[in-house]
Amino acid sequence: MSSTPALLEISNLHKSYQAPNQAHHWWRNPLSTSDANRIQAINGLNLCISIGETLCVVGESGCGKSTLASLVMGLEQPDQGHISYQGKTISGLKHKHRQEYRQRMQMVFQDPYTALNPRLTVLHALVEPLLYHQPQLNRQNAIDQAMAQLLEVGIDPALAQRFPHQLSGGQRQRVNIARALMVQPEFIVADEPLSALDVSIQAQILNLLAELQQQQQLTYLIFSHNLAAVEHMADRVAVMYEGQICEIASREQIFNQPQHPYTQALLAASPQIYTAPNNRQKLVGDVPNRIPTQQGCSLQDRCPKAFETCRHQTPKAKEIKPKHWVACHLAPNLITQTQVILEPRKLP
Amino acid sequence: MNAAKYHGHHVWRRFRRQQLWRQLKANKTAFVSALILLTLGLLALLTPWISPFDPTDMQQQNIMDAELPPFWQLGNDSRFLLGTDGLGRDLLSSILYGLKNSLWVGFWAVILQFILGTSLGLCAGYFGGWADRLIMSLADFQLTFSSLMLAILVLAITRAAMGAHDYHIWSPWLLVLVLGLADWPQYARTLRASVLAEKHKDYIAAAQVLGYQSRHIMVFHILPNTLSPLLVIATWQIAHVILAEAALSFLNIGMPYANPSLGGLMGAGFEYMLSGVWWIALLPGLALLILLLSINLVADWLRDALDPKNLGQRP
Amino acid sequence: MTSPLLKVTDLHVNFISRWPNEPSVDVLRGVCFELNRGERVALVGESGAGKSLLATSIIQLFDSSARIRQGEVVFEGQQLTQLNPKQLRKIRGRRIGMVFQDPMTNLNPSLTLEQQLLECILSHRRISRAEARLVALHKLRQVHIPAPEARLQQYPHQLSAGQRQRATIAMALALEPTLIIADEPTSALDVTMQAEVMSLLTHLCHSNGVALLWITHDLSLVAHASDRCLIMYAGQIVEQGPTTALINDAQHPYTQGLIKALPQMSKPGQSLFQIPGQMPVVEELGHHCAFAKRCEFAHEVCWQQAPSMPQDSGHQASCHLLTASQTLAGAKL
Repeated sequence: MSSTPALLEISNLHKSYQAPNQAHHWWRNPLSTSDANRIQAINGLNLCISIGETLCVVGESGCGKSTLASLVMGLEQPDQGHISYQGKTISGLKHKHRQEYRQRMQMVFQDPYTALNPRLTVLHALVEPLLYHQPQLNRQNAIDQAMAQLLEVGIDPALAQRFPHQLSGGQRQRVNIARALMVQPEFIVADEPLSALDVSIQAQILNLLAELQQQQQLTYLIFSHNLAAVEHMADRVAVMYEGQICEIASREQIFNQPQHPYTQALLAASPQIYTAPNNRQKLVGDVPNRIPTQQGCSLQDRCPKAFETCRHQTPKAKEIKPKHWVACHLAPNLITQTQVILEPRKLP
Repeated sequence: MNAAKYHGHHVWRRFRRQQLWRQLKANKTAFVSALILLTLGLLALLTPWISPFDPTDMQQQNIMDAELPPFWQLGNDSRFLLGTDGLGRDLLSSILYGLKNSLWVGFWAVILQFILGTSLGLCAGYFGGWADRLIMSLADFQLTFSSLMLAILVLAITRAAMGAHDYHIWSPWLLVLVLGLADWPQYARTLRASVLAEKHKDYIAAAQVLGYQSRHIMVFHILPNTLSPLLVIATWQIAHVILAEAALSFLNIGMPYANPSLGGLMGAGFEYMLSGVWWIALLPGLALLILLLSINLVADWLRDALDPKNLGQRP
Repeated sequence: MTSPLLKVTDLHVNFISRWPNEPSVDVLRGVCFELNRGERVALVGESGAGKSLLATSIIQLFDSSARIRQGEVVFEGQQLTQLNPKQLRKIRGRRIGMVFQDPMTNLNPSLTLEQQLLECILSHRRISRAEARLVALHKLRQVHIPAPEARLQQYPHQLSAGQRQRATIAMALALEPTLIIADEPTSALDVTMQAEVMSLLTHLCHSNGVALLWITHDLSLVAHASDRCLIMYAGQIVEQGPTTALINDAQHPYTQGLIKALPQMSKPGQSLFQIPGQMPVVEELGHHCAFAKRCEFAHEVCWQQAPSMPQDSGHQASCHLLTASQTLAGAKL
């Protein structure tokens, strides 16, 4: 697929959950199979990340981003499918076998406040992972390393004794990044690292992430719905909808020639400071929950171009241009304009 | 140094930053209650040395000294400040020893409850699944029994089985065991609810991603953040256990009469009330009341003071 | 000239300290602005600037120990700071509607939509239940909620986030207020939902002649949805003016920094412009320009004296360099 070797490969991933709240009304449908109560969060996902690249996955809430992040990090196990890191399978590993990968793959979470233990100082939060994995270090040594890391992420060492509630959002996110870096990972998954931050702080964090990638040769998998930031940071972009990747291509291709209707709608909806949204189209309706037995394309209810095949067959990803994959029945005959007028959904 | 030791170092510094002292001074009620409690605690600790008589020593008792009134009433004896009880024992000494016994039983019973309830609650909340169901079923089972009835049953049977002499020696420990085992579900359920809430927070996921073992995460990450309600329960429970012990002793099932306890004195003195000898029942009752009230007020204050937002406030 | 709908003059808000001997510091320091009928004004500021506090100060719905130390809030000719709680309650909801940020929590989870909407309408208007229900249905249709009759019977958790937010807008509009204060109404929503809710709110306000005070931290969101824009920093308004003029020709270094920091303004792979440091905390503020520490154009005078905002309407910023009529080096974007 790409010239540089793959660091992380995901193939045919499936994951479903028991829907909450359904159990309350079990008496209404006592004979219903458990399938009806399950939500398919990830539905046959394939992805490949090369060493040193920044892959941004764009999607709205409900598309399964957080589930994908948990599966990649080993916090949950997939129902079906396969995740491998540097060629070795990591999905389905037991805790002690997973340990050696834990240090190589780290995560930065969305809400910088809940991602920090409120009772630990910044220094303690950084020293702990170091001492846990290397108990032979002495205390002062560990503290020095933690302080050095703080400087690297741009935090004033005077803040080391503070607690998370005494820091600002941007500072907390930096501490999160510093903590992830303490174990010297190669691969970092960031689940919406910018969305809880103010715009000017987002700029700082974006710059920091870029700098760190260059200095430490990191590979990034970033989930974000902030298209402006994605356009700035990504090498490749994957667009996710309802547990599947509907389009994946390089940054230029996605932003200049989006093929999938969902990608086009997302691009059209993102706020622009200078261009007026004259033909601002809206995808009507909300992201529904997919049940395991549902057939057809996930976008069928909202897409104005949907036709018969879309309701019966789930589209498979096709490579319409080199390294540009689209999962849509209309490919490769899609309209190549960037501004597609989407019809409002017909109400029942 | 390993991570666990570093955590230990950190606890003391964190505790200092909590600025409990400053908060205590700011709250008059709590401050006074804490002072009273401290005084009572000191008295209880120093009882063997400061008590004028030893109420467990038969030699010091003289039936001729029975039913003497306290010092402010007519007919008192200057040796016995608060009067004597039906057997001629000095009431002041008995109250001091009773205080000591009450606090002792309260303390150890709560330690037992705390350890048991906390470990079970933590496991139930963190691991979920069958462990959760098992532990919660046990807790539900335990809660359906009134702890006092159970205590009465167990103690009565043991007493009959052991005989009076052995019972006399073992009764404090038995009380600790029975009262300690009675109320662990409270801790477990409260902790389980807090653990379930904390478990889903990102810092726990971060800890898992950093490769920590479950044990480490439970003890060093989840427990400190869920401990405050437990400490409040524990403090309040000391009062509860003391009251339970007093009730059992009042009914003559707890501490034997020879080993003085506040409840026992009240129980024994109850019959004398009608003949005007009020001090045997009421003075220990007053002591008990002050003890329980101060514990409850301190527990109340502690609940507000342990909010993590108070960490690191500048003095 | 007609008097403005809302006029805030020299508003100072502080928090009562929990420690008795600590002096209280102002969090909002002399906020002045005006809002006319039917106008859509955006209040842009980052976290800690005090924009939510300003919104709650206008309707005096403080949630902690905040209080107005000095200043005036005049709404429709009435001094809101001098009203008693009963009179204020009459104004809230009826004349001023609020739309809050989190669609999960701004609706009561244990009441159906009907119960909530009706409660809202009936507490201010003396009409029958049936009439109130019709009003509620009408409002739900206005916010494009499909099948409103069915939706009325549903609980908030049965609606999606976008629908909940639209229901909240319906509630805010239910009593036909003259002003709606929307505190980050789209921040918790997805991109496509955001676009929809934004255009809905601005369109409704426009068509019903309702003034809108839109509070947000993202300038690019309101660039095309507001007539005027107020930029807030460290408890003060540092720049205000018509939105297009403000964006195309920002005067205050902070505004310029905000715009330059947007990822759209840099080439991919290039380092983004960042405003160094962060907003000062309340204790660091004094009688100097709050932005001086982070400003690339700071001069001596910026550290000695706080700049003032010129009082005429139009596009102005409070910056010493402007009052001295110097052009800022590199100020043009």
